Amino acid sequence: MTKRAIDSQNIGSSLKRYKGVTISIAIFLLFTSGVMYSATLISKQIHERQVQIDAAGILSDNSYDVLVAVQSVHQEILEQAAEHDGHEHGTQEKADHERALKEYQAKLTDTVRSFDEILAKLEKGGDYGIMRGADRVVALSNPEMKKALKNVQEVWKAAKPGVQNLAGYKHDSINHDLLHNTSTFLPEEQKVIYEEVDKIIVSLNSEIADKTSTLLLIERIGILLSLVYFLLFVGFFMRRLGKADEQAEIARRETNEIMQTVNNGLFLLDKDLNIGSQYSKELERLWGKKDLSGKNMLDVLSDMVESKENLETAGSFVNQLYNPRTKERLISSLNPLVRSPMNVINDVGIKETRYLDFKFNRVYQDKEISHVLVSVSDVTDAVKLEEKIQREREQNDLQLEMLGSILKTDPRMMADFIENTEKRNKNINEKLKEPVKVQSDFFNKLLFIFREVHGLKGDASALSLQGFVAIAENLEHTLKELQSRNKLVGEDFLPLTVSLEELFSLTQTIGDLSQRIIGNNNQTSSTAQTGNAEPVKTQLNKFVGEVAERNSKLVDFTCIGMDNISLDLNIRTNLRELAIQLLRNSIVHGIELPQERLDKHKLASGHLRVEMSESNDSVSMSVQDDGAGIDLEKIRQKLAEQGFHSQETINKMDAQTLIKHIFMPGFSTRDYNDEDAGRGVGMDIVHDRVKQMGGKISIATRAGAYTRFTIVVPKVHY
Amino acid sequence: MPTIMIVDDSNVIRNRITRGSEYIELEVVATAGNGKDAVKLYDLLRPDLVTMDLTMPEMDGLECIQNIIDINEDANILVVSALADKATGIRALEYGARGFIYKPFSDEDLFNALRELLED
Repeated sequence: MTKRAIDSQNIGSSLKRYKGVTISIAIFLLFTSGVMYSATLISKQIHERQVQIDAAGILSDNSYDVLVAVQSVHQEILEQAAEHDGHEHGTQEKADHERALKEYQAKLTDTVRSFDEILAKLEKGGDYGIMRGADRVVALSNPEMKKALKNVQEVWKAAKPGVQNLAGYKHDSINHDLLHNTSTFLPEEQKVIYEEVDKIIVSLNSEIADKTSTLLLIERIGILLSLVYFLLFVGFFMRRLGKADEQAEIARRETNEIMQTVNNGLFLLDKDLNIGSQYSKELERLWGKKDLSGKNMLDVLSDMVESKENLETAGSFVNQLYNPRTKERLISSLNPLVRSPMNVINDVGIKETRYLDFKFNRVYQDKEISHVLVSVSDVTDAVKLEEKIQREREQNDLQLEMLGSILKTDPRMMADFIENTEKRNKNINEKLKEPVKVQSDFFNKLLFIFREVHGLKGDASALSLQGFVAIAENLEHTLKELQSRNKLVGEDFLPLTVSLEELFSLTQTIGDLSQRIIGNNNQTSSTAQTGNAEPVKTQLNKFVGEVAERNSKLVDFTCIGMDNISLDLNIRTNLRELAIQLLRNSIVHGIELPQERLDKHKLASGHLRVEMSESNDSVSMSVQDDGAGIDLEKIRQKLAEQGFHSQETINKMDAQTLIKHIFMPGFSTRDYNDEDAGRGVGMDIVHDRVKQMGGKISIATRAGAYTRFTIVVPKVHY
Repeated sequence: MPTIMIVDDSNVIRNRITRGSEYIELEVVATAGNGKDAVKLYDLLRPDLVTMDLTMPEMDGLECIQNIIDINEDANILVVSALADKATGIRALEYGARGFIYKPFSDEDLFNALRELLED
């Protein structure tokens, strides 16, 4: 779905949601404006009538004013006439009368004009400028009022000529008849006018009363309906809100149920890596921790992970999920919390290691990344299974490799190897069973096991049983670690027995394999298989080549007399194994690196030679290299470091004494350990073995020139 | 046709990504064997996409990403690396890369990543 489609749908749904409200508000507004309109209209009508009443009142007042003015003018004229008829007055008196008359006449003219004006306005409508400013008088429309107005007009029409006559009267042009008529006629007419106007006012007032009560009614209905609407509205929305709350409650309960039952650890992380308020119950179990809401994920995990760096990386990773530039799917491979080993307190309160997978997913709200959803699952079983499969695969590879080695190796030598290894196994087991009285017994045990394992490694390496070498080497690591401790207890040997078990069950396997493959051959044709197997010379050649390569040395190897099959097998096997230790020793410690040799004006490749020869009653074997010779200073230095002797004693030691130390257990001049040397085991094994065989070993060396080991053993069986 | 620049010190990888890019119809406008060349070429050609190795001579991938982002902060950079250290990969994102795929990668991985980066 495109973004635009989502938008329009959103708008559509919100319109729908508010449709009811919109319509009801529209109806309400329409209704309110209707009420207001009619109220305004009626108020206007009332106001019009009030203005009409005012006008009518003024008309009534004006009619009275006209009457008074007429009477004043009339009186004045009559007085003047009487004086004119009676006696002559002075000019001053006459002038006073004249002025008074003019005054009364002017007033009369004014009141007449005003009366006319009001009368016309009540009839036809017009601006009302006397009392109410800009207000307009609306013409009377009610027929009854019109009739009353008409009556007024008729009376006025009849009386007006007389009144106008009075207003225009001059002393010399007096019409006495008319004068007389006017003066006697007016009070009655004024009364009629007064009564008719009163009728109009009464009828206007009753109209106002009607309109006012209508207005009141409309207002009451309006208020009542508004109240009803308001109540309905509130009620409706309260119900709706209630419903929404109910839905929210249901949703919350559903979320809760999901969180209680889901098999993964689920939670939301905010930008600061704080855990959200709702998380699945499983999370507490997986992490072995409670009350996680609001806590920082990294803080919670900090005492569980093995690598703090990894945790920091996880923090940066989550930050990158909040970075809108990055692509969620294209960065998931950088998630460091995959198959993370974590130390967890389990349900029964015991610490255990679990492998946990963390999956992080962006959560969007309005197209913004609002949270990161984290799903944690326990993959311990999967990891363990994989490890097991991997081990089995390695075991298979090992067996296959060994199969190859067995096929290539002299079956007698293989038989010797198996026999030797079984012997070693027995020795080690017996040693382990020996009771321990003091701490040094533990360390003696360790040393013994170490030598056996080291010897075994040498044997295996000579037969190119690389898998075997690797296992023996791991064991050596473990043993070395134990040796470096200050104090040992019986329990420390436990992991050792497991590894040893593994090593020797492997021996068993090889034994079986070689039995199956070669054992049968052996029965059919012993000469044939001897021919098939590699001669010792070839084996040693290969061994020297491998060791030299590992140590970056160039070696030119000569092997003489090692395949003398007329000799006793036991002696041959033993000497071959001794040759292996000595050859290795020469390559690692004797022969220098090519550049070093060139600097010393030697050939780049060192010469290494092993020779076996026999006399009547003894067999001798020598191993000679043209390397650096034995560095006496280095032996002194190591001796000082290892603390076997005091510095003073060391300084006094002569060459022979010093050299003897290389046969001491645990002595090595190499600064680090690897497959070939450096564990301080090797030369002591050689020494012990020669002693076992009833023979002797001697060393000849010259610094910078050569080293030669010579072993002489009696032919008799030891 | 969208354009792409491929930065990797191994010509085997460069050829591999080139072939993959052409297969999904991207125009390979440049390839570079070190960070320095990559920055120059980016400034000149402004490709729509960049694939970036992290360990290279002259100028390494992290520095190169920073330089390219300085030129154009909207640059579209996919890191293609064999490094085992995830923290360095995340640093590349902090410097402005938008995605990360591990070497060795399948054609599918590469296609998906390039297509996703071209989406917007």
